[in-house]
Amino acid sequence: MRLTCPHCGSRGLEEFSYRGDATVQRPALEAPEEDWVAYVYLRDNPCGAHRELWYHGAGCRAWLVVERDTLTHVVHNVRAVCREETP
Amino acid sequence: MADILRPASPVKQARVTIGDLGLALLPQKDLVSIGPFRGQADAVSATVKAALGVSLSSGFQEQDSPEGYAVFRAGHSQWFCRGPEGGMLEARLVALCEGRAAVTDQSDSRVRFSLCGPGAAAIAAKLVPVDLRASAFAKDCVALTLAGHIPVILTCREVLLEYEFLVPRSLAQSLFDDIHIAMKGGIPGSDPICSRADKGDYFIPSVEMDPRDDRNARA
Ligand SMILES: [Zn+2]
Repeated sequence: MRLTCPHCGSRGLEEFSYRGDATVQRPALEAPEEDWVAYVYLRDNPCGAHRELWYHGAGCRAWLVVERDTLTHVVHNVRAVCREETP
Repeated sequence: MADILRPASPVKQARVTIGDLGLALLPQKDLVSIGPFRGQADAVSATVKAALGVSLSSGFQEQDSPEGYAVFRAGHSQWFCRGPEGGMLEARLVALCEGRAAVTDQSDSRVRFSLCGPGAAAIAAKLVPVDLRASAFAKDCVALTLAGHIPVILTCREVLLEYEFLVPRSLAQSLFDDIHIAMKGGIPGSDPICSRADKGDYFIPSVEMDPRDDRNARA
């Protein structure tokens, strides 16, 4: 698998680390315990389109959001987590 | 004036040759990292361009100036500037970029190797996950990547024939050995024949330096 880093271009998977599900939302501080348990421990295992966090540790060291299909392995989009990117 | 401490060589041998393929330690130069603060990249680039003749390009391509300076991007919001040894490059850049960028002397933190000769790309390709063909990695292209487990900044000096590895000094000997194993036909880290049988060959306890190395000339 190759990912096209927005900073470094197309690179092999060995340069990246998977850092979790990018779709989870941190609950409000006063949210019920069940919400926090779900946030910390529970993950979906989608078959199809998914959003994931990846870390380009052996390259630019940026955190990336990768939109890919877990069924077909097609990578649709890779962008930096930080919106206000300097070049 | 007090004697300046002379640093030990980062590698035991400054040069090895296999057939026409050579791996050599390159002379030390001043090396400074520039990390522009948010929104300051363009201003820093213009300042450096006016002073040294090279700008902070957003592409991963080294730029050189006739005055002997080079600037290359090596990651997100990080550039390196290289200049003649002893040229007070860090002090100049600190003054130029004051308040607009983090400027740090990296001269002693990194070591440069040149892998040069027919088949250099094939040897480099055993270590780096970068497409080294001319269409993807032309002359002066730069990539911050891994050579095996070792972080390197790879530069193409001549397509397929000459590559430069900029490596943290503490990992220089490991990278040198890995490239040497690759040059001898092995695969670093996964080739038991090369990593054992040839041990006596590449772990030579010698501090001989290549006479072409500047620092040896002074030693
Ligand atoms: Zn990257």
